[in-house]
Amino acid sequence: MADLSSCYYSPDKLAVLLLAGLDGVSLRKKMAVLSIFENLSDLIFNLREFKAEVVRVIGEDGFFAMSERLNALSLEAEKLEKAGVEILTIRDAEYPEKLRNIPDPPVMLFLAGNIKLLNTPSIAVVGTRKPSRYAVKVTEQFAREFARAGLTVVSGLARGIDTVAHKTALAENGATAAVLGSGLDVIYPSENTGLFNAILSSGGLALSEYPLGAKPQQYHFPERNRIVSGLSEAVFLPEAGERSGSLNTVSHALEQGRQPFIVPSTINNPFSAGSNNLLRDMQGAIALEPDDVLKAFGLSSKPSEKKHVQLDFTSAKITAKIEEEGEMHFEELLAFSGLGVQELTAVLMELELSGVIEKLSGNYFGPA
Amino acid sequence: MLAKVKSFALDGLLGCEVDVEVDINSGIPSFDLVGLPSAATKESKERVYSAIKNSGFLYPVKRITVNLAPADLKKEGPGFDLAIAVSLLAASDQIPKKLYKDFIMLGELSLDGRLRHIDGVLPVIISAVQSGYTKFIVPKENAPEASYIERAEVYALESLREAAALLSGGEGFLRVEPRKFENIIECFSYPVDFADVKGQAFAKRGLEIAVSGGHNVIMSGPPGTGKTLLAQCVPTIMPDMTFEEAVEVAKIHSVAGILDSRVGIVTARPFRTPHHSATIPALVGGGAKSRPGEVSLAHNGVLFLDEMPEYSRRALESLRQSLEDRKVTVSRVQRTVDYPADFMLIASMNPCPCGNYGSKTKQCSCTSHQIRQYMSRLSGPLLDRIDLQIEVDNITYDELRTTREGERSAEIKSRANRAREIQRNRFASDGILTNSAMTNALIKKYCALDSASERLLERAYQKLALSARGAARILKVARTIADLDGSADIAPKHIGEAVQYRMLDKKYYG
Repeated sequence: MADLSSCYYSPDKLAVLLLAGLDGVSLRKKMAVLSIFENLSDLIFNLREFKAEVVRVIGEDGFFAMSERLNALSLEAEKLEKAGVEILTIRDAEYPEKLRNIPDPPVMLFLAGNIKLLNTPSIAVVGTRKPSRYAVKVTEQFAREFARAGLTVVSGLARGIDTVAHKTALAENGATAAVLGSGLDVIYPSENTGLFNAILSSGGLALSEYPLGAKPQQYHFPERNRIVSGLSEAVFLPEAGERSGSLNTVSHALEQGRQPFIVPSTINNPFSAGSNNLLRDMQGAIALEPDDVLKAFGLSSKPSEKKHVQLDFTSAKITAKIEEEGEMHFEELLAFSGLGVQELTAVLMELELSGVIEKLSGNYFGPA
Repeated sequence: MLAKVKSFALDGLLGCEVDVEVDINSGIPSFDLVGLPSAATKESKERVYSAIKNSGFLYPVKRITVNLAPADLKKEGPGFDLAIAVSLLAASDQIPKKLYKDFIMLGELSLDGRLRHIDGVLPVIISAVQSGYTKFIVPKENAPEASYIERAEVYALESLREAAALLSGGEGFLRVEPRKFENIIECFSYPVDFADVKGQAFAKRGLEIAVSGGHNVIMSGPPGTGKTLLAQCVPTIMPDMTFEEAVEVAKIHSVAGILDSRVGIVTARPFRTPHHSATIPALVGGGAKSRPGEVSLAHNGVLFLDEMPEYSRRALESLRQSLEDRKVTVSRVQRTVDYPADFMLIASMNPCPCGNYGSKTKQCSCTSHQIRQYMSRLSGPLLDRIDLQIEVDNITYDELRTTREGERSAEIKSRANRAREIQRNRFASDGILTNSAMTNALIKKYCALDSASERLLERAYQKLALSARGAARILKVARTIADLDGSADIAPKHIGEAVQYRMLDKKYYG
């Protein structure tokens, strides 16, 4: 085993790597095996001497599988090293305390990017994969404030809210961490590969408890969710359907003693029924503005400098009306302003370019 | 005994002179038809036989040879029946030989000797008049389409017997009364009007701009929001057909067999809506008979592609050529035919596969990935030929607190006509008619921006993340908006409005 001793990863880490990749052995038994070895390097270099104790926990077959893995371990380690993946085991001192204290902490983590983010104040932002326009806006608004206040935005790189959360944090030059439900070399969904790379290249972090090449199995996602909430002090949920996986994240959060924050949304939308139901059960979790969440961190949002745009009389009138109504249709604005179609189009364009209003789909206009 | 009668065959939109020669000899009774006849033409034999007998003439029981010359041109259809029957009668001395030589004869015979309607009479008469022929015998049902060519002396007859009587110097046959196109078009009106479309002010304005500048359009909006009705109204604001345009369209429709035989010419601008399962030959033309496709049937009118992303990619790509060249060249083994295809393209699409993306009342069930896939079916090169992207309202108007009266098509049309006039004068020496046809050099020449407009355009690019490929299109549309405004220069407000019609760029391609 000379090549293992010269490996990039320390023998202690390799020992956990060996155990973590063992199929058919429960997490609890793996922990029991770990506790046999006072000095973890013995697991790598003197496994035979501990045969009796190990067999007592996981049986002959288990021990045999361990020896098999030991033979192939140097190859696996080489592959990890080539991919630039760091590994962190539960025995390491750098293993984040907040994660160590949750029920069933992951034995090991595969990481890429900025590892320091593990120990920064973090907020999990999770939610539906099919967000409404409202939920996207809310997520952007809150995530922007989280990033500005210096929180690390933790999410799962999934479609929908996760993607919006990561992107918003990146746009604010904030820190963001993505917890995958697959190996670090299997990006799911594949359209987020660009986002994944952007996170890593801008000082963000990607991590997973699954080895390289692991497929995004369905049962991985609930497991992944406990890490998302475990890494965070609080969980922010802008919108979730009745059967959304993000509800699972919230229940993990409650189990781990993390505080959930939920934004109410329209009661007509079935895709927000899950988060609205949660609000009925936990009225204290309501979040109406970013400060509601930031207060829990002892922070407050930075006052953003309001852009001052000089508007002429008609534009100001139209802007005021749109702000008052929330959103107005083109036809309604025609009737309200008394302008012709082309004049109104030009005015609205100007207002949109100045960042005062926003064109929504279906020829509706709303405040920016 | 020999007899020769003139008829015409169709080659694309052109008529080709065909000599129908009949020779009757003694020998074993037979009937041979030579000269590359198609199946329908070959079957003339039986129709002519019965028609002659049932019209009270004698069918010569002899050795009969019929030749359709030139022998190398493929002869399609039953249109030679009359010519063959008449030349048989002449060769067997049942009608005098001196009169029939002046006539071009067209028509299919039924077994009882009646003349039946045939396709393509109008293009044949136009070609024949150009080659110096003036007298025609056509089936009665084809009379209307033959009546617009002033120099043609057309006799519309009901049967072989009438034809024989006319050719025997019979009295009482009157030529078809020539009709004036102007009188017809004056009485014509479209069954739809923009005033009937509630709301949709934004879309209507977009279509007005499109018609004024000859731009192609794509409308985006959920199903059931009136995209089809809006598109149907577009011909009502296009300029009235001129006689030349009408004849050109009528020729194509006559060849395709869809010309209204009571009117005989096309007064309404064509509005064609091929289904999205249409094959490529059905769209651009072709098939065994090299028939005109939908793009040619929409010539001088509107081609409406409902649910454009549902069309096959190859079908859409095949449209590109005709959008570029304004004509279609159909090449087959035997021949190559050109059909004009100068149409305005109006496409419609849903905002997503399920159609509810962005709806206020319904929840969209598509993933962002599905939406991207749906959008990507429209290839960039095709979108490059579509200048305006119009978002259609997706609400019921009862919800809106507005009671604006819609404008009538006639008012919009007069504005569009004025803008077209301005463009015709501007491009008098450039060989184009509308802003949409401007090349990059012409855009540079006619779409110069002042610094304020330039700044606005730059801001729009930054703020809305527009794609660069839209730049030329924004300028062209802004030019049209300025023309509608009667303004010689493009002002910032024109740019501002033009940018509003590039929203697909912003949403899906930014």
